[in-house]
Amino acid sequence: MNKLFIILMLFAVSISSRGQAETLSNTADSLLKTYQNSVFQVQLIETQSGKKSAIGSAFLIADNQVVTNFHVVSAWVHNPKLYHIEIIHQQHGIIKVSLQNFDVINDLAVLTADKNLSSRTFALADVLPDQGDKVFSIGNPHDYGMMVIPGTYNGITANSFYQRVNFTGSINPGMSGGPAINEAGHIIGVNVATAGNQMGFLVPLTHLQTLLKSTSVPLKHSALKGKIEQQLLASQNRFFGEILATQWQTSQLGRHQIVTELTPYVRCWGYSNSDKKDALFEASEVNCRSQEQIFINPKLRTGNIEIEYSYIKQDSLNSFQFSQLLKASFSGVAPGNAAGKTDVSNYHCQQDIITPPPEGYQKSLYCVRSYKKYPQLFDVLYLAVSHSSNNQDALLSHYTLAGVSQPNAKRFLRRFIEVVK
Amino acid sequence: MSFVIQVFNRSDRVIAEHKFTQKPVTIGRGFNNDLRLTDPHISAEHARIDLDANGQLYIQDLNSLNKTKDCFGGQVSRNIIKSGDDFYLANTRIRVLSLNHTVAPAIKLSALEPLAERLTSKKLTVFLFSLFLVGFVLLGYFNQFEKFELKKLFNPAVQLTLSVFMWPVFWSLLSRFFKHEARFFGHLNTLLLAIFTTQVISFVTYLLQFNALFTTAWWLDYIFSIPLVACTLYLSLYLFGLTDSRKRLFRSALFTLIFFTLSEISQGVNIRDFSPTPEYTSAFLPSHFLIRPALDSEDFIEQSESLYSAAQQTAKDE
Repeated sequence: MNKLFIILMLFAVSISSRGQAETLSNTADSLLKTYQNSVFQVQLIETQSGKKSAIGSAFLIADNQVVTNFHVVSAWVHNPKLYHIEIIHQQHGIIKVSLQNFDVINDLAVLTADKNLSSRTFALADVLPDQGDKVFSIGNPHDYGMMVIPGTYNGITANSFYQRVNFTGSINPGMSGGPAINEAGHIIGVNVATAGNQMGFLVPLTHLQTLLKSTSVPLKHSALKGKIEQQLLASQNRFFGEILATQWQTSQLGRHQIVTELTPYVRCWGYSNSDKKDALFEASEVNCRSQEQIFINPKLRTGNIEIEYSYIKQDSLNSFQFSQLLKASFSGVAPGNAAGKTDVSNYHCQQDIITPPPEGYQKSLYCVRSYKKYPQLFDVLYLAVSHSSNNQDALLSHYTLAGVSQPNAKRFLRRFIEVVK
Repeated sequence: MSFVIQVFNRSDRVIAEHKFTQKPVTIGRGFNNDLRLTDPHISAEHARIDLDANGQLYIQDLNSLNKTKDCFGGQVSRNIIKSGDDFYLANTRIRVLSLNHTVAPAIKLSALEPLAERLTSKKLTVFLFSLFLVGFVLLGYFNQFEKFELKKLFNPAVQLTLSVFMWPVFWSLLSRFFKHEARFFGHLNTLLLAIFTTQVISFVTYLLQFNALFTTAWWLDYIFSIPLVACTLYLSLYLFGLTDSRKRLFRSALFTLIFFTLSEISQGVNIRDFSPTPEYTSAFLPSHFLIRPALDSEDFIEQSESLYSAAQQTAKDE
């Protein structure tokens, strides 16, 4: 599981030093006064019970246009009949809004109100802050009321494909979709996630600009599903386009050639059992994964990649016992992303003995599951054991790709089999 | 005219058979009777069998307390007897047969009998059981990849032995109940042989799975295990003493059906229609067990194409 991007589910405690708080609070106070009618709480109302089922924050960007996170309103996007969306305006009270546009990859949504809200709109910043600049995040954490949270702008997250801005300040559940502004009160990002301990994340301004440019007429209900699929397809095309265009850097594990950091977004970790004196075999593992996932609904995350290797060399096992070890290592493989029954089909698998390394054999398993609502997208899973003919050592290689198109999955499979020997 | 009286117990077994030449024959609990029955519900002078003027056997109730009845429950006062007729004296059933009453044809000694004789040998039990224990230890040794400790196999071996002995104990008790020969060792040997066959079958299945001939092979087990269970039951029923080969065939088929239906149901109850993890077999053996030519990796990639459409189809169907 991706620990970094547990979307606004972690509780963090904000502690700031006193001296800093004083200077900041002046600005914070005036900012909140200026914009109190321009930041709202977003509620997703479940139609049957008439009560809210999700909350978030939102801000005014044009006379009747409001920006929030996609994940705040995702339940409506998947089931428009079961919910409706409201914002709470300080003066006008509850206002019904409808979804005008969204960007599932960057977790943004544009809402539009039936009437002109006649409040001060936020302007987008012309220049991005420098690293270390003071910025403010506004939102309604845990439904406790609108708050201004001071923090520091720390640039784009490292090793990230779906880029985020590091905001060193407390972002808490309920603040999702709220604005992050500079001291002049201009938008520099949108609150989106936290990793706890003052590690907040913002959607970068450029993604908001791109989305607003392409926003014109409200979306029809029938177009929602297709739009998500189209955005996911475009995103994975860009992702795998980049990965497949580069020459993969290889490294050595045991007697085998493996590929680890195929892009900067994929980070690897290592482990071996050499500290275990009584082990009857040597095992060294390399686990690589991309740090980010795309939120589609609470049960479905996608857009990530995992690669794992394990090199096993036997010390004092006989060849049958070595086979049992391989059997245990080969079983129980799991996907790298969460998906439920309503989202994906069961896996369909093929297994075969394929052309071996110079000697020995390779047993390969390839499994595919389809997204029920987005039929052009798949989760795929590959697992292989390259076994030496003398039953002395073996390499387990495994990867999972989440939310990939058939052509990209096939190209990746071919490339992986070619490179990992 | 001579005749035979059979006396039955409550589970319809003949417990006594008497041949009479003199007549009349008196039946009752009193010591003066020709046929004495000890059931306390029977009167001292209960009934009498005699010849009438036409030379026909008849039975007469002697004003007994609990009466004499024919097989339809009708009260007997003075009834004509046909050979093979049943009568109830209170609760005790008797059957009257003439000496020339036809008996069922003799059953040919089954071809299974020599096999059953050999199976019932104690020497065979000693041999098979030793083999069983040795096999258990060897499998325990080869099917693990940690430091091997023989003592760890002790408790599982005891448990397994006890559960194996449940089978002959079950059949012996059943045989005791039906007053058949127990043939304890015959049943034990049958089970041990069935276990060995299962081991061979599962190795063959595993070998096929290792060679990636099946991704999932649930049906492969059935192909072998259904006939095996049926044969084991057929043999066990013979050892139990079911001599009629048609009945034996029918019952072994029936029990096999019941067994597999129940196990299917109990498995079916646990099946979830969605699994977030893939289902596949994971079988490995040393490389010299590879009996199948390897597939070209390009073919593997091309074959995978069909998985996408299959997955799309199930997604659509659901």
